[in-house]
Amino acid sequence: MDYATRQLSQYVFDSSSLIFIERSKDVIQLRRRHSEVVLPEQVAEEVRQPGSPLETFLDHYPSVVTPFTSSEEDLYLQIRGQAGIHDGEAAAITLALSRSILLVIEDKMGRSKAENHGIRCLSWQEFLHGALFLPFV
Amino acid sequence: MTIETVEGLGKGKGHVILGIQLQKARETVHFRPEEVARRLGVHLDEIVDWEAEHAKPNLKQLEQLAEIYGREIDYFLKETPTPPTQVHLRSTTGRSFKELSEESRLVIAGFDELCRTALELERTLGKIQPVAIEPVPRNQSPIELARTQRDIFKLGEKPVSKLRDDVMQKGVRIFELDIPPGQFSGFSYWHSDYGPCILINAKEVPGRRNFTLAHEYAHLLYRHPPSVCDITEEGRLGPAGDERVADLFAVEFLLPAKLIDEGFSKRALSKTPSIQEVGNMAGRWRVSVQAMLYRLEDLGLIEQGYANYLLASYQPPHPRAPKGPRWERSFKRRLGKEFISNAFEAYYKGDISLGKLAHNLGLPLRKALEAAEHYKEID
Repeated sequence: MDYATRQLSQYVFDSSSLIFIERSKDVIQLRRRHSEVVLPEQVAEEVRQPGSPLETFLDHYPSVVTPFTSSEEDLYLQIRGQAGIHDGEAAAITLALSRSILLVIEDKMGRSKAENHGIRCLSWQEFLHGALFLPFV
Repeated sequence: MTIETVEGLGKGKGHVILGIQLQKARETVHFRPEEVARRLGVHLDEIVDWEAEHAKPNLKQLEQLAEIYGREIDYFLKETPTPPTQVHLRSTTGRSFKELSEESRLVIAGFDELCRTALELERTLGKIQPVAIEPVPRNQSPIELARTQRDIFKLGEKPVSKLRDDVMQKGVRIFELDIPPGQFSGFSYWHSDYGPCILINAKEVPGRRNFTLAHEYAHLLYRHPPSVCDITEEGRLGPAGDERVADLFAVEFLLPAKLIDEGFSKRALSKTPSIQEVGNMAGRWRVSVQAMLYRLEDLGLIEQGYANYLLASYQPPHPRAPKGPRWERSFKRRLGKEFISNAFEAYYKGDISLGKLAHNLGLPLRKALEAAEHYKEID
């Protein structure tokens, strides 16, 4: 699947973008658009903090957490082995790459890696403001 | 776009998980393959096959291995410098290295991870700290060496006040990690890639940590083999050999005979000073009360046997937490200024991700983000 035929209404998030959404008290937007949200297990684990709005969101919508397929595990390990990157960012890039989903990412380093792999990246504000209508490359 | 078409990534690019790394990680913590197989609930053959790269663990198994071995997943994905293989426990209690608890061996693996990360950060930023200490001949007197080192650090007649900073300035990597009680005080080695490295038990009081640092520094100066030291009574000389030499160095370096003698006379103390009087001297010279008492006894300034008499009823204080926000305290002492500053710089420049920063600082992601924002403001 490529960007022309991808699932337009899905977004995969890295942990930092979710934390910024939580800080701006916009987790409600994630709840409203939960069917569009895809989170790798690593990201869910990183943002899960007892009593936090994101934890409540994850408890209400466990289906947003998306496990890897076996080939995605291999891809994840290849990305994870690159310098400077950690579990959550590598996992988000993996899902965005293998499923051609838009990546909502705030992390500078992760974003640069993702863009190097040709992934279309958005900021968390773009997601909140309906970035669906942005032009695709 | 498919996975296969992405440059640099794709299926069939060879074995991503390196068997040699799995083996190194296991051997560092002294686990037998049978033990690892039992913990993972797999057959022994699988562990052997993974290490020989005849098969590979799945992601969940790899994550479990990372936890068991005290490593990050990326340790298994790229070749890293080999940690010292022949580590000795220089024990005053006669124990062997393998008798250390599993938790202690994991601390040593964690220390290796920190040394590796420190080097990676320096390489990323292009500012590798040069090593500015010269090895000394094995036959040099430790007392003489201590005096020379005091001159090098320009200490004059003053107590050592910022020993960790001073030694780090010389290119030595120093980390303070929590070591379980009754295990060991310090660990040091001179690594071909990392350079000289020292681990200090963070759970000990500042005076004792100072002593351990001076003791381990002596091991590095003499290029003694990698050694884990369980210094049970600092100031009391250990068995003959490298430990005794390191102790002699540390005692003279931190508590120079001439200056202690003069200080004792100036205070007009009796041959049986009170614990408070000894405590005041210990505080001034930044060593523990035990170390000061033994030094005074060795110098004949107090009665023989008086040190043990006082110590019999003495309760060492708990280490005081350093000032500053709690999240900051948790990593500042553990990692040291240099490491922290490099980690933030690499993050601000976009050389490492937030997840990596959080991992390096040992903080949850939200706290790492707060810390990064806080430090940027200070900058």
